[in-house]
Amino acid sequence: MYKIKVDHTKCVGCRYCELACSLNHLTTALNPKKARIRVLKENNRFFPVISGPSTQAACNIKIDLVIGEKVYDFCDICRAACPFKDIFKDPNTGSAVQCDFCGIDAPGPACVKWCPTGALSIEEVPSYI
Amino acid sequence: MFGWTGKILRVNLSEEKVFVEDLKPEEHLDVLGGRGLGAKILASEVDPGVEPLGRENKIVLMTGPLTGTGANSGSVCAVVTKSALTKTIVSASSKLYFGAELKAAGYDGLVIEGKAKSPVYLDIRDDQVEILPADFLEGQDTEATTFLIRSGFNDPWVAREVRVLCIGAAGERRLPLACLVTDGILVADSGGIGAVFGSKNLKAIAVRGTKDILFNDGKSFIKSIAEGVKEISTNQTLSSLSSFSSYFVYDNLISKKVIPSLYFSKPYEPSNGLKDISAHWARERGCFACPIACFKLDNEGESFPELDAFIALGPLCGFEDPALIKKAYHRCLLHGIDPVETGAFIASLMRLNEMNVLEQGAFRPVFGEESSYFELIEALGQGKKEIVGLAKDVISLWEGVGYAQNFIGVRGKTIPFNLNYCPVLALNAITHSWPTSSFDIFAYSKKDPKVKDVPAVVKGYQDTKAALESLGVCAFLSLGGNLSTLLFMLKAVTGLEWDEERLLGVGETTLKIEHEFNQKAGGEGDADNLSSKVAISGFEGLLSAYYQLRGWS
Ligand code: SF4
Ligand code: SF4
Ligand code: SF4
Repeated sequence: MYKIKVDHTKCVGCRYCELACSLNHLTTALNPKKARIRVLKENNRFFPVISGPSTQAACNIKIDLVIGEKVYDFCDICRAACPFKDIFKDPNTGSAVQCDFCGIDAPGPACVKWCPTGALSIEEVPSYI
Repeated sequence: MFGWTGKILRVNLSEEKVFVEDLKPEEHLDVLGGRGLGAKILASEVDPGVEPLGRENKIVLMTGPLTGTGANSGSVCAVVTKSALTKTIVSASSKLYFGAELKAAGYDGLVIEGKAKSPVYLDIRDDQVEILPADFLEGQDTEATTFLIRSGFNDPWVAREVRVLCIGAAGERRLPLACLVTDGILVADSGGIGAVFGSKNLKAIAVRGTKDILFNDGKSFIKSIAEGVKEISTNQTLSSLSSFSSYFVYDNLISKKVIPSLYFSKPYEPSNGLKDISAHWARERGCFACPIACFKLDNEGESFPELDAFIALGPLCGFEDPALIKKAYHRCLLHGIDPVETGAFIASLMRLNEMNVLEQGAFRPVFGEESSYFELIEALGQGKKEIVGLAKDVISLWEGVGYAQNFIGVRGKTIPFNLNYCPVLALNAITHSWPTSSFDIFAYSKKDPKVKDVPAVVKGYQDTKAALESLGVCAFLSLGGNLSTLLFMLKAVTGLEWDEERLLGVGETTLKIEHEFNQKAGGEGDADNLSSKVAISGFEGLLSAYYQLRGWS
C-alpha cells in the first residue's frame, strides 16, 4: 500500500500541489478551492494538508504538536477531511471532496509529481488488511 | 476571452459604494492587463497633476491574463497609482497569492477612488463585496492587521485562505515612506503607495475567491506548465536566483564596488562573505505557482531582506551583522515602511551628524550604533517628529539642511548602489518610469554590455519587465525564462497567437503611457539632479541615445 508522505520542512508554499490536484480533477479548469490538498500557513510554516476519508462526526482528537519551541494545533495538520472543514467542500456543490490518490501509475498522484521541492513523496507502507 | 474574467470592481470610497463594471479585453490588447492596463486606466481617469494624497488620485489594482492561472511565476497583481514618494506613476508588484485570489474571486482588477470618511477595509468574497469599518485595525501593524481580519471568519481554515494586502500605522499617517505588505512580504516598489492608501482611509483589502479559472486549451496549457518548470529548473541564472535570492549578484557587486557604505561615503568592503549571510537562511518561500521560490526565511519563518534593503539597512548605516539587519527589516515590515528609504533616512541622519550640520537639540545617531538605529526605525514608523525631525522623506531631510546635492537618488527615491560603477544601473535608474531598486539585479544577470550598447540593453530590460508584468508574470522570470514558453501559455490560456515582438510591444506601450503621465505630472524631470551626480564619462550621450531609441524628446 502506498501513501503520500509530507515533509513540511521542505514546503515553500508555492501551491503547485493545489494546482495539480485541481487541474487533474477538473481537466479544463483550475480551482485551488476544489483541490483535495491545501497548503495552510501556521506560525510561519507551511503545512500541506490532504483531504482523507470524511467522517460523519467531528473528530475529537485534540492534541498539540510541538515543533521546536512552537506549539501547533494538531487539527491544522490532521489529514481527516471531517465535515467541519469547509475548505474541503466543493464551493459550488457543498459536497466533500476527498483525495482519490489519482492512481499510483502514470499519471500518478498529480500533487506529488508537480511538487518542485520534494515536500511530497510516495512511500510504501505495509498493508494490514 | 479566457484569461480575463471580464469584470472589474469600481470602489467609490466617498460614497461607500461598489460597482461591477465590464472589461472588454479585446479593447486593451495594446497593454494586455496588469501593469500596462493599470497605467492605461490611471492615465485615462486621473489628471497627472493631482496631489498624490488628494481625493482625486486613484489606485488601480490589476492582474494580467496569466495571473492565477497556474502559469509559472504568474503571481503578479500590479498596484498602480501616483506615488507620494516620487510624485510619478508607479506600479508595484504584489506577488505571493493576492493576485491569484482576486482572479479566483472573479475580477481582473479594482479601481479605488475617493476617500472614506473613517478608516475602512475592503472585503471581497466572490460576488459579495463590502466596505467595512476598520476602526478595530487603527494603529495596528501589518501582521496584526492580517491576523485581526482573519479572526473575523468563523472557520479557521477558510480564514487562512483569505489574502490580505495592507498598510501599517505609517500608511495611516500618510508618511511618504509607507509601503504595502502582503502576508509578511514586502510589495516590491510600493514605497510611496502606503500613504495613498492611508489618504483614502483604506487600511486593507482582503480577498477570497472560489471560482474556476477556464482555459482556451487546457491540455496544452498543462503541458506548457510542466515544460516551464523544467526550463526554470535547468536554467543557471534562475537556479542561482532560487538558491541565493537577489544575493546571487552579491559577490559581483562587491568586487565592482557597487555596494556603498556609510551613506555613500565609500564602497562597502565586507569582513565576511555571502556564506555568512546565507547562514541565516533557514527556509524558502515561493509565490503562487512559482518553482523559483526566491524568498528567504530565517529560523522564525520571518522574511529575510532582499539585497537592496539589506544594503540600505546594513552597510549604508554602518552595520554588517545579518541578524541585526534582518531584525530591522522585520520592524520596517511591521510598521509598513519601505526598508530602503528607512535605511537611507537613518544613514542620512548619521552622515549629517558627522558633517555637524544638524540643528541643536536634534537626535544624533552614529554610524554602526545600534540603539539609536532601532529607536529611529520605531520613530519613523510612528512618525515621531520630536525624534526624526520635520523631514518626512530622505530628500527633504537633505534639502532641509541645504545639502540637496548630497542626496543620492532619483525623484526622491534612494538608489542604494554606487551608480558610477555601472552605466546600466545608472541609465535605468534615471529613465525608468519610477526609480526602482528592486529591479536592479537584472543589470547583473548578464555580462556587462559594451558602453555603446547600454541604451539598447536598458530599453530591452525595461520593455521585458513591463511586458511580463502586464501578463501578470513575475519579472524575475526574464532572467532566464523563454518568452516563447510564455507566448505558448498565453495562447493556451487566451487563444491569442502572438510573437515576441508583439509582446515586447506591450512593454513599450506601457512605458510610453507611463512616460507621458510623468511628463504631464511635471516635477523635476528625468534628469532630477542625479544625472549631474553620475560621474560616468559620456553619460549624457547614453541618455540621449536612449531617448532616441524610444523616440522620446
Ligand atoms: S493524490 Fe491526487 S487527489 Fe490526492 S491530493 Fe494529490 S493530486 Fe489530489
Ligand atoms: S507543491 Fe510542494 S512545495 Fe509547493 S506548496 Fe505543495 S507541497 Fe509545498
Ligand atoms: S521569482 Fe520569487 S518573487 Fe518572483 S514569483 Fe517566484 S518566488 Fe515570487
